[in-house]
Amino acid sequence: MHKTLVTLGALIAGLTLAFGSASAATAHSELEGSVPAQGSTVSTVTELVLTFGEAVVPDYSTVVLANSAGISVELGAPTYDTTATVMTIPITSGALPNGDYIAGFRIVSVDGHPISGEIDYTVAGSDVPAFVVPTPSDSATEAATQGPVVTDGTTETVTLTRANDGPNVLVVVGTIFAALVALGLVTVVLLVAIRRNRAKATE
Amino acid sequence: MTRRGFLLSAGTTTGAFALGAGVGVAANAAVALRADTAVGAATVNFYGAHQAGIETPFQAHGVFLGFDLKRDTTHVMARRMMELLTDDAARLAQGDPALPDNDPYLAEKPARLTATFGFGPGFFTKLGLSSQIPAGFADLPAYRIDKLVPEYSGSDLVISIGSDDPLTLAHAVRQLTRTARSFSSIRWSQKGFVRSQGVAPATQTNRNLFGQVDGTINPAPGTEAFAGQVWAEGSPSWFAGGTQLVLRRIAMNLDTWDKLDEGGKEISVGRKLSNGAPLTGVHEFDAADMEAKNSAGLSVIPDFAHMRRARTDNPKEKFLRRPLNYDDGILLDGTSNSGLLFAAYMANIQTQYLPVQQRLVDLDLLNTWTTPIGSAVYALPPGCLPGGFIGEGLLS
Repeated sequence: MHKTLVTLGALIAGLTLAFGSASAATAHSELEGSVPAQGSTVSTVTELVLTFGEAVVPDYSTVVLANSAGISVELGAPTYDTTATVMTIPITSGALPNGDYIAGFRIVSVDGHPISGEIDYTVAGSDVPAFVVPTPSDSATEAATQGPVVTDGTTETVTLTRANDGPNVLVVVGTIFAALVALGLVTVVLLVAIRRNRAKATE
Repeated sequence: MTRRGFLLSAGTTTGAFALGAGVGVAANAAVALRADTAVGAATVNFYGAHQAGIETPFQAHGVFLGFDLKRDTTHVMARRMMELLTDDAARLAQGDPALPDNDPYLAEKPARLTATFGFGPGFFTKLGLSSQIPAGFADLPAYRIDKLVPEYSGSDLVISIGSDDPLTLAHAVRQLTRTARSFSSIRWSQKGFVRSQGVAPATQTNRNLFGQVDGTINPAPGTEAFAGQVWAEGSPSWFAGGTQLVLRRIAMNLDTWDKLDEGGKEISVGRKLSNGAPLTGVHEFDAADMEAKNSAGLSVIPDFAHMRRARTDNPKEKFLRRPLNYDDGILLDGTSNSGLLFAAYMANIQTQYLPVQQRLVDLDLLNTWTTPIGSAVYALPPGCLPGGFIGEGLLS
C-alpha cells in the first residue's frame, strides 16, 4: 500500500512536470519578424522574408500576397536558410507598385504546430506602374478569363493591366498572350493573369 | 446484498438520468436492467448475400485475428476449416454454443455478435488459387510513412469478430481460434472498441482517441451508394457480393497531439472538434467549401488538412471506413499506447483505395502524430445460406 502511494505520488509529480513543460512549450514557432515588417511603409519590395522562432516544415508552408483591392500577386517558391527558420519568398514580377498589401502566411513548425497570420504593409515611393483592373468590357479581359488560366481547381483568376506601360508583364498566360498578339488585338494593353491562391508556389 | 444496497448501487449507475427525468430511482433501475438484457439478447443474422459484420452498425467491441495456414494445408483442409468456422460463427451469432464448447453459458448473450472471414494473398498462393484472386486485390505498396512490424502485418486468414459485450466476444474469439488452429497458426490478434451501446445515439458518428468525429462521409447502410462502394461484382464470379478489406494499425501519439491547442487540432483535419463540422460549416454534414478563404487570403481548409487530402468527388474512390480505437494501456515511460485499427471495405482496393492513400502519404498534417505500424489486405467472400459455408464459391 505504501509503495502504491509512493508510485501514485511520483505519477502525480510526473504529470505536474509534464503539464508545466507543456505550457512552456506552447511558444512553438511564432513569427519573430518579417521584411517588410508589419505596419511598415517601404519603397522597394521584391521579396518577402519571414523569420520564425523554430524551424518550419517546408512541405506545409503557404504564403499569399494581395493588395488592398484584393488582387493577388504571384509569388515564387519559398527558400529557407539552413536552420529552416528564415523563409524567403520572391515576388515573381519583381518590385511592387505603390499600394497597401496584405501577406497571409501559414506554416507548420517541426513539432507539427500550425501557425498562420498576416502582415500588412504599404509600398510608397515605388516607380513601378500601378496595377489597373480592366473593365469587364475589355476584350482582352474576356479573352483572358476564357483561357486556360485556372491551374488547380482552387484558384481564382484575376486579370490585370498596367497603365502607362509597354510590354511589362506580371504574369503572362503564354498561350493566350501569343494568340492575342498574333491576332493583333493587343497593342499597348497587356494581359496579366495572377493566381489568387498561392499554394502552388510553395510546394 | 440487501434490497436497499441493490437500489443504491443501481441508482449510482443511472443516477444522472434518474435525476434529470425526475423519476424514482427504483423505477429507473428496472428500466436500466431491461435495457441491458435487450443489448445482450440482440442478434445479427449470420446468413445472407453478404457476410455480416460489414454493413452491420458498429458493435462496441471488436477483435481481428490473423492466422497463417500450416505449410501443408490442402484445398480439402482449407474447405473443412471454413465449413467448421462457418458453423461456429452461425451458432455463436444466435447465442448457441459452438460444437464442442466447454463454456456454453458464455455464448448465451450474443449482443449482436458477428464473425467475418477474409483471405489474405497467401491464402490464394498457398492453395494454388492465384487465378481466383479478385480484381484489384494485392498487398499495398510500401509507403514512406509506414513503420510496419510483422506482428501486426499480413496473414493468410483474418477473422473479424464484433459484439456489444466484451465477455461474449472473448468467448467467441476463443472458440473460433480453437477451430482455426487445427489448420493454421495464429499470427496476431488486435482488439478495438468504440462507444458502448446506449451511450450515444446509434446513428451518431464515432470519435477516435484524438477526439475527432471520424466517419462523417461514410455511405449509409442499405443504400445504393453503400452497395456500389463496398460489394464486388463478379470478377471472378466466386467473389460477387464479397468485399476487400484494408486493415491498418495506426499508432496515434496522443501525448504530442495534446500539445496542440484546439485551433491547431482543427486545422490539421479541417473539421471542428466539437461536432465534426467542416471549418467552413456549422453542422457535421454540411458540405465543405474548399474554395473559402480567410481575411489573409489563406484557404480556410488548408492544403495539408486531412479532409482535403482524403476527400474526393470521384465516386470510384470512395469506400466504407469502419475503424475501431485501440488502447493497449500506458507504456512504462508514461505515454499512451493507442491508436486506430483502421478498417476500410471496398469492392476494389486498387481503384478505390490506393489513390486516396497516396494523397495522404504525399501531404497530410495528421501524419505528424500518426504512424502506420501494421498493414494487411483481405478478400472477404460473399455470405452464404444455411447449409453452405463462407468461401464455398472458391473452395468447393
